[in-house]
Amino acid sequence: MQVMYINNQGAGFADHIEIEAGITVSQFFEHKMPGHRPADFLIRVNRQPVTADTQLQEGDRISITPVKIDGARQ
Amino acid sequence: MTEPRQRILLRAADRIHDELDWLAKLPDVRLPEAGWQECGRLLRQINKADLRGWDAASQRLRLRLEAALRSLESQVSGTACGLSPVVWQRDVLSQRQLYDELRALHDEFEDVEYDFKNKVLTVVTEPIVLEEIDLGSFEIRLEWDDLGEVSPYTIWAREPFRAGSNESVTHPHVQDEKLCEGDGHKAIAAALRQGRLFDFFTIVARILSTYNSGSAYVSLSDWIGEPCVDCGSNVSHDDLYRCDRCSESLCTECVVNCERCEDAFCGQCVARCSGCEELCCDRCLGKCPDCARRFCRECRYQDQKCEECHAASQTQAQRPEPALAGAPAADGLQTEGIEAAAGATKAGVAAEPVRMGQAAVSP
Repeated sequence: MQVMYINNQGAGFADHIEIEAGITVSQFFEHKMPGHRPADFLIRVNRQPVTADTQLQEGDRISITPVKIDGARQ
Repeated sequence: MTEPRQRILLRAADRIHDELDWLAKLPDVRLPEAGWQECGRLLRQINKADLRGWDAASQRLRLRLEAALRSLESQVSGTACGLSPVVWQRDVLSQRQLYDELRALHDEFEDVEYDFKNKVLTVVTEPIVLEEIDLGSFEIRLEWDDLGEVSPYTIWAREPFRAGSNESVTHPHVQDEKLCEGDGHKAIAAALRQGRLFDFFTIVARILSTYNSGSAYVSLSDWIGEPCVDCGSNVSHDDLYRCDRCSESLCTECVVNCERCEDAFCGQCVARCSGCEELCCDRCLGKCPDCARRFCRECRYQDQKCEECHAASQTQAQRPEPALAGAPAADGLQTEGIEAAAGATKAGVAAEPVRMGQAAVSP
């Protein structure tokens, strides 16, 4: 099934991708963000906070944004 | 959601969609020609000012050129970022999708405000506390008719808790209401380009909630305090001194104690005694009425004169007065003097009272 995947880490990524039907948010995160902790990211499905065991649906919008993003001085 | 709120969201979504749709029709890549031309214009003005010897004008123009070049640098960087295929996308969100973006903002943030006249969408963050310093809430103001620009938004502290050493800094990464995006720069550019307003505001809010101690306009360790008026270093309120005369802030290294009264002063409010060369304040220094130099009370006599002038005046006082015609001897009887004084008085001329050894004052 197709979902919109947005990753706001680094340069960012935003595109439609194909995933397995019935996959949960935590499984999706582990697949897309290996080696990272979910607690270090804001994970939103259709712009809403969700539980880790929420199953993704066709057409869902999943965004992953780091909790800590370093600003700088000019 | 209430009906009035729905109407506002629909109206905002419609306006922003029009702007994004217009931007999508523009050429893919636009070089910052206007910025380059501005720099060229300023440079020509500088050359003209230099030729004519207008130094002040040249200096002002150089500062403006510096700012223009930094802006151009940012525009070039933004254009280069837009060339990256990962972030480039010309699909414009539909009005329905933009409506969803705006509605989600109300769930995520403290407050969302719409200014249709000035075309500004404002999101209010929760209070930002970094290393136990409460900076308060911030407004992220997005000017939606500037979405094609490099930085179409500003950051305003609702109740500014400014850095003690730099009033233009309200957050370690915000100066003059501009956020230095750091690691979030590309993600912000991509989100704005694609109209992903929810992501844009979320990313900016995360930057505001993160303290990067290695690259801050003012570090949090220096946030609370005031700059020393003499050396400029930041001084915490616990270590702060104040000049007893001008009340300016001072650090422990720069504070000067008057040698006579021992009060604390800055370097501008003390001076060296011309006699003992100790540092003293204005109250403890006095001007010698003869030589006009300044001396402390230890180096002045009761007549306020310095030692040198006092000695000179003493010497002069001991010299005998030159004799006047008809005047009696200084230690003799003054019969003739009295008569002269009486005669002067009779003549209607005011006369000083006769003293020992003096003649009447001549008219």
